[in-house]
Amino acid sequence: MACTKTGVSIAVMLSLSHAAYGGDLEVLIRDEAGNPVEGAVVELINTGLPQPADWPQSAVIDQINKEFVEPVIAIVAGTSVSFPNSDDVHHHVYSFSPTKRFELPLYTGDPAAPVVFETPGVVTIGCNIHDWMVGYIYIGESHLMAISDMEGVGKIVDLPAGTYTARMWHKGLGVGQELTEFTVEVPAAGVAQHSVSLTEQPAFATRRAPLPGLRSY
Amino acid sequence: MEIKVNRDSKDPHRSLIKSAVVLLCVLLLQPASSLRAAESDAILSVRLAHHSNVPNAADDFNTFSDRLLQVDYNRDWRFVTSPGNWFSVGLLTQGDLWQQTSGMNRLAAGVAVGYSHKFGLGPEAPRLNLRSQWLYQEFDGSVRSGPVHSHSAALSRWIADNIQLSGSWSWTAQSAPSRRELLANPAFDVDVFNQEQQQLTIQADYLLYNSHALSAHLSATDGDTGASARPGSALLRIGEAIARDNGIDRGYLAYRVEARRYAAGLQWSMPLSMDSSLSLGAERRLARADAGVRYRETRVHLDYLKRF
Ligand SMILES: [Cu+2]
Repeated sequence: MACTKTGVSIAVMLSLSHAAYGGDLEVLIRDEAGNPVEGAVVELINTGLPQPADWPQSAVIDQINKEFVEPVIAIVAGTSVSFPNSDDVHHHVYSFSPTKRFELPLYTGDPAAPVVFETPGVVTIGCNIHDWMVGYIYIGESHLMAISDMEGVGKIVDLPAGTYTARMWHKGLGVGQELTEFTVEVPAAGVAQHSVSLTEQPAFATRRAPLPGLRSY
Repeated sequence: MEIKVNRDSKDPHRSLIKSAVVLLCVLLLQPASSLRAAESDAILSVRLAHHSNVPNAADDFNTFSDRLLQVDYNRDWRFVTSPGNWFSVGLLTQGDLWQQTSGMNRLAAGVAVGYSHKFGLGPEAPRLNLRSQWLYQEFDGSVRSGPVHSHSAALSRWIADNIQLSGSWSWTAQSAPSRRELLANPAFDVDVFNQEQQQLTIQADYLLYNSHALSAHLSATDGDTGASARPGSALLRIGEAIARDNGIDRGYLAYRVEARRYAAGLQWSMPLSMDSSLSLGAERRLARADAGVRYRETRVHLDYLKRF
């Protein structure tokens, strides 16, 4: 539901910034069995549409109950992200991803400085204390992005009519194959719907649930 | 008949004092910030188990099985002292309740200290865990009652996204002070449960996509073991100490035997929630002692674990 919130907030921001335009784009993302896929990022690239001057330059990924509150966020290149720790224990946030390597060793409360993500791509973040904590930051070239909600719908509103190239990413697409591209037609008014079928690669998640140990006596 | 053993019964108080000192030192060494952000986990473990050879008897005549309920409640406080380094202190409480063998009913409480190091970043970085624990255990049949302490070192590493290998070594010593009142015969030495063992274990955990885990382990234990039988058993030839076993009762005698024990086990574990799981496991044990004496046992267990 965190993804949903982010998706909605991006859609709202788009709606406020492009009130002059008319067409909406809804991308419906389903897996092979037809089930909606949550947390997929849709980005429109090479649009030539300028980014509004007041577009947010910062984002937040909070940590509560030893989890990242936002498992997926989508930001424009150049955005700074802060990683506050709302738990009363240490976290140690890091990324190995070539797009952005960083480490915020052992902290409680707010870390010293936010991290700036300059290069488009995908960054996987983790916590070195709680191995099960994992999150994804999608860094877009453009500001025209949405994250699919529980119904598998990513919505970008108030677009000028035309043909767009869209790019989609989901964590389940596997390393190196995360990005798929497609073109969509957006009308001057109304909603353009586009369906994407996604072949999810099953992925292992680090287990948080306890395992019995052996009593040695 | 004469069985000669020159073991001093260990003083349970010395062990407890030693553990309190270690605990205090570990706490004093922690930076204040680390103490404030200590992470506390309590784990409740409820196990239903079936043991096929409760007395570790070497022959069918003396072998019997029983079921038991084991409830453990352990609380650990972990202090991250620097990136990749943890100290921990823990409080342990354990209880065993047998269906028939009431003399084996047991209550235990104790403390633990540990140090963990992670060699690098990420879930796949190898981990080293060192742990020492001191427990005092009280059995309904008091011949086994006394302190038990252990030290262990374990190294684990994910060798693939879903396969973890670990190897561990542990040393365990338990002492049950001489209880002359338990003598069946004044010539017997009752230090049966003054025992020391070393154990090597290797374990592989295989994670499925749904976070269920299949685990397999092999272990070898070398050192003392307790085995019980009615008078006239082959254990008499190799027993290093003997006492009337008021834990097993039924007229059994308990022997301390030097043995090498091998165990192989399998376990399947499914998460019930983020912090709870249900597991089913089985272990087959074979112990070999001198003069061709051996005993076998199969243990089956169902575990519910809940982290608070
Ligand atoms: Cu953490």
